[in-house]
Amino acid sequence: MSWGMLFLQTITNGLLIGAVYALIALGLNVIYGVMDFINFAHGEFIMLSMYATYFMFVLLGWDPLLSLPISMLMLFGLGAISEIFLVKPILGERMVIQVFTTYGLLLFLRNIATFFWSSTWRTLPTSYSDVVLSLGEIRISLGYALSSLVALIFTIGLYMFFKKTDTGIAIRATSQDRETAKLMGVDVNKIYMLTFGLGSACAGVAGVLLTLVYPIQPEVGEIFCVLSFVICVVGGMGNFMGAILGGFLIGLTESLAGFLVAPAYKHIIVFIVFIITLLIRPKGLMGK
Amino acid sequence: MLRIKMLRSSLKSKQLELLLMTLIALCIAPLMSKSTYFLHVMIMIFFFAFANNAWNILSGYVGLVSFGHGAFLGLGAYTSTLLLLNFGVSPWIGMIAGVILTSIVAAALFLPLLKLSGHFFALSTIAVREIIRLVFEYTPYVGGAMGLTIPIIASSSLYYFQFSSKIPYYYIALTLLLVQILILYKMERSKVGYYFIAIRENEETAKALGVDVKRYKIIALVLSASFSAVIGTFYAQYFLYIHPNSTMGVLISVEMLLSAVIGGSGTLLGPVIGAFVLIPVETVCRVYLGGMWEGFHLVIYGILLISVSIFAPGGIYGKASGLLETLRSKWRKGK
Amino acid sequence: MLYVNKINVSYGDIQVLYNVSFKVDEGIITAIVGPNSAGKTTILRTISGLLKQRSGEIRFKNANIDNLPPHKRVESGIVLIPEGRKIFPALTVMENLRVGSYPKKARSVRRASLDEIFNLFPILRERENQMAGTLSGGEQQMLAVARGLMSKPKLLMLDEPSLGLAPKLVDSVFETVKNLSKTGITLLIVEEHIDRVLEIANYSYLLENGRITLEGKGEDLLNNEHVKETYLGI
Repeated sequence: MSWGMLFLQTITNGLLIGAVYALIALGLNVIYGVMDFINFAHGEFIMLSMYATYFMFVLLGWDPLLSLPISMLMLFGLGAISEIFLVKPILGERMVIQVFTTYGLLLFLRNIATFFWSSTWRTLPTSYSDVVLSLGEIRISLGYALSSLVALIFTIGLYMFFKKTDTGIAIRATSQDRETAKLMGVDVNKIYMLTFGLGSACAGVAGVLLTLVYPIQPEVGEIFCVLSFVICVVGGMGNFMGAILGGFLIGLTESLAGFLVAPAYKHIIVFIVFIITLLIRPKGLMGK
Repeated sequence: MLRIKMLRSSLKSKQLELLLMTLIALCIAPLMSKSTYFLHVMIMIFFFAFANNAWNILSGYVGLVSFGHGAFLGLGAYTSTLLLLNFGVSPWIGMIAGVILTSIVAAALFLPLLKLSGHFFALSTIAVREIIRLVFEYTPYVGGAMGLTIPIIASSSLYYFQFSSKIPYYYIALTLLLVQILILYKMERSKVGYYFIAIRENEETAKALGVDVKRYKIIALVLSASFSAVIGTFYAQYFLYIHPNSTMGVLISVEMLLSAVIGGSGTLLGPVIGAFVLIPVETVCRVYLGGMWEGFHLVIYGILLISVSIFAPGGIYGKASGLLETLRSKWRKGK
Repeated sequence: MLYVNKINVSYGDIQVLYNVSFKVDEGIITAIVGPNSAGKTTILRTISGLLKQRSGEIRFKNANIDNLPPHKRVESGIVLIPEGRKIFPALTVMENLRVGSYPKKARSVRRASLDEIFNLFPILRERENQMAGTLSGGEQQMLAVARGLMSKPKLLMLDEPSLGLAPKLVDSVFETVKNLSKTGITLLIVEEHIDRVLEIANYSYLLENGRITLEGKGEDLLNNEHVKETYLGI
């Protein structure tokens, strides 16, 4: 394989994983945009969804893509419940308190997962995870292709939801002016619960898709959570398109860094990109 | 401001007596108990109280929440260890070198981040910590992911900071903690302490009042990083084994803030109280739940962290002094 | 239709309203006038549920609404068009109107409401897909009123509708208010343009330092010596 082809292959890989990253970041960013709140347990939500998918596969023999709606709904519920019991009491409190409430949730979930499921790495071997598609010289594993396709479908679905439905428009209205939204008859408490649920459902879907390409472990959420922060900051906090742009950018950066420098250094380079963005464009590429 | 006042009033005669008695008890405790396990737990309490106090300067007083303090601790640990292994330098000198190096790295890497606020600062500290950790993990000269082992050079030597018994470690940790608390006590009562809190409460107002916000943030950062480096050297000499994950990873970074947050961040005694609560929790989990429940104390920490955030945002110290105050005023009214 | 009975309202430790009582009769224009910071906006925010009174009672259509959250009050027919218009700048005109008809009942008759609105403000139809933030001040005011009407209110409250508008536009705002009243909507309007609002109001209250100090028909207030001297400069 020539260098040029390898380069193209790298770009393809970056874009494929970028679609999943975008979806993860979208979940975080939607919550931040509407509620001005950051969920530090976002990565743990992904981890829980991965385990749910894993166990449905191992115990019941359900394919990840078939059990996806279940995982998504479970995570939606978990998000909504967390919002009611953990987030609502501290909204409007000092930032430090907001950080530590969800950080407490992170510690709790991560370690309860370690306790129940131990810290061994598990993989989920579907019938198609070893299939490789060839596009000329470029090779794409079916797992990656499917996960990025489904991620894209969900991203577009979410976009349509915000653009076309009354509830979606009400969520956007709430993010712009909470008080006036109340005056228009919008139940802001319900909108918050729904938003947190939706953001968590994104984590749920992403978790399912990640099982196709990534091993499962209780601490797996850490890197995805940090990456999605990075994506949101690079793209623009609270900005829908920003999360998508950032997702692809970071996916590309990661795979290019792995290719041009060394796989071991890919995250160092991603973090350096993150810090440079913070310093020269603190509101992100799409931020105003 | 209010907290300082409360602290002052709480340090009056009776409390002073109590404090002295606690101190004496801590000093003679090793003579009473020969159990090395007991000593280990106490050393861990002092260690985490010290480390959380270090975190507390930047994050509690100035309000810049950091998830990256492990990087400072790790840099301190690595500096003194590398000097010891390669040049036979005494860890005490290595400790000073660690403080200097860590201050420089902290200033160079974190300085540009100080202008970020709130969530963004917290997030960026994770990234900086990971950069430093990954660099250490992939640099063979510093031991890579395997880390560094400190060989036993002498069975008991103050120069080499190595002892076969836990008792010297106990007194060293206790002394370090007491000296640190004294420094922090002075700091809290000086204008530096007032400025720190002013910045936390409202940066714009502090600026308007003429506080050089940037300067005091740097002071807090360097002070915070330096103390972390000091305790890093202690960590290396106590465990005689360091690697990037244990000294710079998520877990140590989080453990460097848990006691402070749960005990009461931004207060002098909060982190110490927190350490006296959390470390025994961990110990009890380890002793009574055994290896199968490895890490279970972190589940409890998580629950504690959530409960404190929701029900006692000022931490245990804040809640307790609040309760004492209401009790006292009720008592007065009763009279 | 609306009875406000001896409400006391505070922001933290600062009391803003003292034993304020008044009523709004069905089908007419009621105005509350008074100087800046007398507490006029506070009254409307309390009626719409954004603020809670410390004591006193608010009744709407013979039911106590004190425990209803804001969105329930909108559903029951009370709508406030806030001071400064507060349109959603990053939503299109159409999306703003859709938020206006968010309550279920209003949603079911949305199409008809839209037709009415576009008859009333033809310019909004032209601007339908434009971001609301790019509208002119006058158009934004129209949109704010239109958005409020989308939920089919029984009582429409306007907070300083003429604020920040050119004199010509102020005329058209009061014209709109009069026309709205003819369609049978009950209106409660708060204004600093005292002379203009008293001309169109059927019944008015004067609010000074958080207390109602005077009430009467519009022309009665206009002819009152105290009002003349203090507020009209005659």
